[in-house]
Amino acid sequence: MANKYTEQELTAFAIGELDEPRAAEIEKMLASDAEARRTVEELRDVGALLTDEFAAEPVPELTSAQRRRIESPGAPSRQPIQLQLRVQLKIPLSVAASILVLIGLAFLVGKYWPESEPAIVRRPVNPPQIDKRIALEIKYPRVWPSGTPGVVDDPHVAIPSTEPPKPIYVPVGTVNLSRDQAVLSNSSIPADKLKVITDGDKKGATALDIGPGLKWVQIDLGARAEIYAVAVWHYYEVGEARAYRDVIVQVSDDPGFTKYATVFSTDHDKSAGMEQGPDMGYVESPSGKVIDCKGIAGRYVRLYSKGNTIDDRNHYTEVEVHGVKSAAESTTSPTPFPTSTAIPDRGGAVFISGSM
Amino acid sequence: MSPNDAKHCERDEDRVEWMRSVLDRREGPLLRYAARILGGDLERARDVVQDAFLKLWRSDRFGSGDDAAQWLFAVCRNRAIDVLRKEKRMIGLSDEVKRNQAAPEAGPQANVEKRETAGRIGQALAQLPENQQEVMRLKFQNGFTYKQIAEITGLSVSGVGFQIHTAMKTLRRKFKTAGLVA
Repeated sequence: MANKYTEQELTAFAIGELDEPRAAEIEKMLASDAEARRTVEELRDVGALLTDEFAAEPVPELTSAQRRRIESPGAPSRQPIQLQLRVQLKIPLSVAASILVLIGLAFLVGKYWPESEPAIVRRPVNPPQIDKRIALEIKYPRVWPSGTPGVVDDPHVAIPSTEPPKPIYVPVGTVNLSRDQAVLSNSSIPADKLKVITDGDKKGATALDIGPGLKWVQIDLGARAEIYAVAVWHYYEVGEARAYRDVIVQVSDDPGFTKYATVFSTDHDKSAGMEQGPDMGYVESPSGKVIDCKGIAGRYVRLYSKGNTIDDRNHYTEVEVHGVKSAAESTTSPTPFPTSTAIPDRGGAVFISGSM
Repeated sequence: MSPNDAKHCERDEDRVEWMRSVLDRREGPLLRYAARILGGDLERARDVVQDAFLKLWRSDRFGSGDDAAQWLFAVCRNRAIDVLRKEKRMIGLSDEVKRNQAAPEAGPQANVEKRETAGRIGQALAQLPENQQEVMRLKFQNGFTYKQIAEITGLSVSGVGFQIHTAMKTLRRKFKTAGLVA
């Protein structure tokens, strides 16, 4: 039987734009069509090149005055109100008084009062400016003896700092949403063992080895949330210098991560097969790594790594996802995780640097 | 303060936080998008994006469960086109944009080969018709779906699919010739 799909459908399939039933049909047909499979691969390569090209473009910013005006919620409505006031003040006092008397009379006799215009000035549409951000408090594990971790001799790994990490400011009400949440991985580790990653125990002795090569763990927050920080502790031992390679953190609304936002990536050479990452590697320490996610919305958080500078294994001691559940939480039951461990489609990637 | 006032304040605080998070996430992408429509004029793009966010304050998007990205892109697009129409300076994007856009900063491991590759990709992109460049950017730079792009641009979903397919076909051929894809 001849394969029935158009070139346009093949493009849509390659970049993840076909609905699931049709995508499954085409997938089946591709099994017997090597040329079409090659075309799909090439189209995906084109998509990946474009994503990288666009991600490297400079990101412009508003002026600080413009930002202030947007963040100051009174701005949109204040100007017209002030303008109106100036116009009114130019009316001679006698005329104004007459108008007031007439309005008062009309009100008293009940002849006319526009229902659509309230007698009292409406409450401003926008609230007063507030700033309810506080520094995120992370509980770091206690170690003895303490000290600055060693240096990893790699230009892509930062020299450990003796300074305390810069605080991340988060809205009041931000909590650790990942505590005891379900964890999945592309390793062969069963789900009940993966639970240690979100059990709140950050002592290095409880680190879980999830195997060699490119591995990921994925946390389902249970509902969509605004994510302000992801904190991760892989594995450390006092006095050693260990940095994990290709540490990538992504957020998605889709458990299959067909579309995702990357909030942190140390993959400087694309060896994980995804976008090039702008962030420096770091040496493991009791401080772990706390990544500023700036309130990005999503339900699933996926963390990749590809071995470390001592061996090719991947370890996790603890992961915390700090955020606030979104106002409009999903009321649908959780979508089951996919069993596939394929590298996500790059077509919908939005690259966001988490480095500060 | 009455219970009703307290409720209002709570909601207002949420609204301010929501607006701030939308601004953090969308400011840069919106400025890039508006600047391209405006021929690379970043100053005007800033005005357009500011207007869009001020309009967002007055809208009822808060609490709708999304971050208004698609809505903001559509508002910016319409506003930028209005600006161009009013000023009667409908100019082509390609040359002007190329002049005004700063070259991507070279990273510490940047090398000649990488810059050449980026140059060839950028050149191939710039040769696409402007409507194809726009939908490709909305797809691969901003991660919108065909449906969302259709709503932003006013094209039909199949029209978006056709434009993206045509652009991908052209780029695949050019990239193959340039040895960028196997």
